[in-house]
Amino acid sequence: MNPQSPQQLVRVSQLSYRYADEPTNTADGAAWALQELTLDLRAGEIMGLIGPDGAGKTTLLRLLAGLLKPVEGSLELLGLDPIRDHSRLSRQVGYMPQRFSLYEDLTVQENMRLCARLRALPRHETLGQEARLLEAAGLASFRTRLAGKLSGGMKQKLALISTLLGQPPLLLLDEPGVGVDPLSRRELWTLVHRARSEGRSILWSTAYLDEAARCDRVCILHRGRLHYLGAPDALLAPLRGRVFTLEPPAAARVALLRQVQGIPGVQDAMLEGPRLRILLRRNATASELPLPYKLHPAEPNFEEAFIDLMGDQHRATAPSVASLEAAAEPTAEIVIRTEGLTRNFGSFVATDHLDLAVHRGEIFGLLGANGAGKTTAFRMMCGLLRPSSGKAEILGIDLARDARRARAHLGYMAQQFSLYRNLSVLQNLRFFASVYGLKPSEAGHRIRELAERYGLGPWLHRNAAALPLGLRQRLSMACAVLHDPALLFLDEPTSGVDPFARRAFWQEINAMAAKGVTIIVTTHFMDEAQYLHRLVIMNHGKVIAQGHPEDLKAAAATQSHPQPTMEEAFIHYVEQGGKP
Amino acid sequence: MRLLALILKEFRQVRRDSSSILLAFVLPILMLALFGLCVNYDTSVTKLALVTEDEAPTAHRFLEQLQGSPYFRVNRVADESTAIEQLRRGTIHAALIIPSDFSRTVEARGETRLLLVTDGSTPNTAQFTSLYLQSICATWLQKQISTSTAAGTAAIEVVPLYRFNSAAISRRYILPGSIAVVISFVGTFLTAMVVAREWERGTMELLLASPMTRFEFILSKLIPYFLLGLGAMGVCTLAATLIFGVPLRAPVWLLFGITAIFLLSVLALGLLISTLLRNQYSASLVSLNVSVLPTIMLSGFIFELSSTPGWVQAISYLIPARYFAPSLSTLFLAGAEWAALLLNVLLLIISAIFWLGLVYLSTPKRLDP
Repeated sequence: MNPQSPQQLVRVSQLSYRYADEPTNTADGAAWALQELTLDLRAGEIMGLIGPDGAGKTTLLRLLAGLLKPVEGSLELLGLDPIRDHSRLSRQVGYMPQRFSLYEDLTVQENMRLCARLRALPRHETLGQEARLLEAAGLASFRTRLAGKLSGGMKQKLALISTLLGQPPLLLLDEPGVGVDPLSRRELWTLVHRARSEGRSILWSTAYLDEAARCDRVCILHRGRLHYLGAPDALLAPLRGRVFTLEPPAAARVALLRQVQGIPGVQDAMLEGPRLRILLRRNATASELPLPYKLHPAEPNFEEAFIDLMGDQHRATAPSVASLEAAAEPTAEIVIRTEGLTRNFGSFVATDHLDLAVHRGEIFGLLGANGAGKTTAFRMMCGLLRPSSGKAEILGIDLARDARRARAHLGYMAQQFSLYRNLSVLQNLRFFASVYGLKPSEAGHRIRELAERYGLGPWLHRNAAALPLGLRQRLSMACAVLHDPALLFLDEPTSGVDPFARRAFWQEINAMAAKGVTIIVTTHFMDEAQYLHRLVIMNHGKVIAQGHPEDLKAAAATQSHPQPTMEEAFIHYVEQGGKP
Repeated sequence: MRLLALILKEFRQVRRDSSSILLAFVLPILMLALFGLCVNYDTSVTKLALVTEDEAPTAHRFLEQLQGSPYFRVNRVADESTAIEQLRRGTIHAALIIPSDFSRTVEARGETRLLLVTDGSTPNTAQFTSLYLQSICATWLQKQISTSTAAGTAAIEVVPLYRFNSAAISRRYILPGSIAVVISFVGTFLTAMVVAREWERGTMELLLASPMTRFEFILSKLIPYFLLGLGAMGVCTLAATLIFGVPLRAPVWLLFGITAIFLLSVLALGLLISTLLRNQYSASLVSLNVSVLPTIMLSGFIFELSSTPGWVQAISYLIPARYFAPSLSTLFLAGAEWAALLLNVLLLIISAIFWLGLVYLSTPKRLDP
């Protein structure tokens, strides 16, 4: 640590960056990846660098790691310049890039040793550390396993402990929590908190707003600008007393949501499973709300804090909700039924005797860590994968017999943006319309309707690649529902998008469910669980818990966690060994 | 220390990924076998239809000479139109017509006049047939003159002696050139993937953030594949000498020394492609087009460079195999002939410096340019 500045390990002042190959004429003028950013990192603190995808988190970390050269402004780490003093600094800074930045064809131990030698750490010093870190990360028994054969969580733990070798005073961690199951995420945080207690400072970037709670200070970024810098609690404080939930009957939910959104005193409203959640504006009071339901006070969350912070200026152009004339309650009619659905890959049982029944109009979730069997189950339910035993039916059609006919009734939206980037929005829509066999006149009508509803109109002739993340996701959705499917499969639909886009998305999903479309969501993001009507938690190919999100949370309550979050509930069920 | 760690890492990756091993040790044998067995300039027996309009003894003696040649299988047909018909159907390679004044011209003026009809759609065979026939005529005519004129104008018999390749087997000439192609290909491909792979898997960012220098990075990518490249050369040399019977007349150290210099160029070329494209798929396509094809076309071992336009020749100077292919021919067939080697070796050294310099300049220090 530099003795001249014991308090500030990192000083960033008026920092701006723009990528040379980025088109400067994007619609919102967001050519700057970072704009006039000023912040500091103090010794021994964990700072959360929080914001949705495209906020500028990675750019900032790369600038700090000396991988990019600032366009304007200055930055200083440990009193040194990241570019001029690169080789001195890189010994004292542990940088963990995004994605699994490991050599997949090297073993756990080989990866660690390579990292140590790259930073020219003396061997006698690192050997002891290596053993301790592997132990702490629970990887000690995997020393000789290839990194490519580890689970996502284990990979991230390995990448993290590799940066800890040599005990650098500063750690720059780029989204360590992405693609990681809740158990591993908790372990990652334990490792980071331990590093802090040993005097290290940590910059942890994340797109999950709820991770703010675990940081000493948070820096909230959105579209390249700093919106908040300070303690996480101070972020929630102004929201206390302004958040309420109410429980309307199912048939009235979506209509009520629209009504509430029209009330001037309401800052934000969203459906959370069976409940409606309301955030009031600063000057509004609950008694002003003309609602015939009882309001229950609720604890604010960081998404609401984000929305409150941005005010109305950043509100995404929300799509107008689908017409509600056909609003209906989820019926008892079963549209998906699986019986003893099992799939083996060699001796590995990916999905083990799955019995599910999903009702029309339900928003149904399959939750689980990576490798829990969600994707396998999901593929068998779409008729993309043949079960080893058992059967799956969609709308009464046996998938083993007539998967093609069944597939005509389902829409699918992949996790990654899987449309043609170099086709325009309109060309993408037309292509998918023809794939699903829509007649040209029908397709034209449907495309116009969806383009208007999803706010894609001004973008129709732009390449899909040029779309901002939130719009890309709406385009994926439009392509998935062109043929008006009775079932919609969503794979981690809102990972990384900002809370505005996420709300708009789920509002649309709720409207579709109200019209009788059945929605199946697979995700390992626990925060998406709050939007579901009903869910199953999977582990090792088996269902270990199922029910309404609130019931599952309530059932997982313990003395230490009287009001568990979905993530805590998930960990609870997994640790119970699959016995809910 | 850091360099050693990086090299060790590279070797471990090579060991766990069989494609590098296949590329260095199996592919050379396959490629050499293809070149060695398929590219062949030696003619086999030519099927010749013969029409004779001259029945004089002189013409008969010529016919005997022709039928005695191991290169022709002569088949007499009645007339010219039959011969042409056979040529059209492809049952013969060429038709030879001996005109009625053949004997008279030979006796009177010591000249032969023949009509040879060849198949223009197979120009190589046509060319060879014509050349062989001319040489047979010349030899035969020489004999005629020496026997008919008592005192005789001094009979000159030309005995061709093919130095360095005494049997004039084209394979012996083609194989050293093929080795240049194989080593170009293997060398470029070995390194064309490695930097792109680091970019694709995101590990490049990890390396750039470390104190590693550009120099260390390039060396760590060169040294392991340099050794593999030498291994590939070993495989090629063994295959050429033991399987295809090509002699190796230069000392082994010299062969490998010159190969080493050449390898620096092609490995650097691969690294350059990989560094610029950052994508394994594009890198492999570009490598194929930048290494193998120009080497075959422009190194001068299959196609004579002197017959190409000036600008093509100018491009060929950029291709290191242009200096390596003739060096290999010299090394294998002639031996350590410094007069023939020196210039090429110098140019190979310049080429290595040129390509390595480009790699150094194009290797980024950061993520942005």
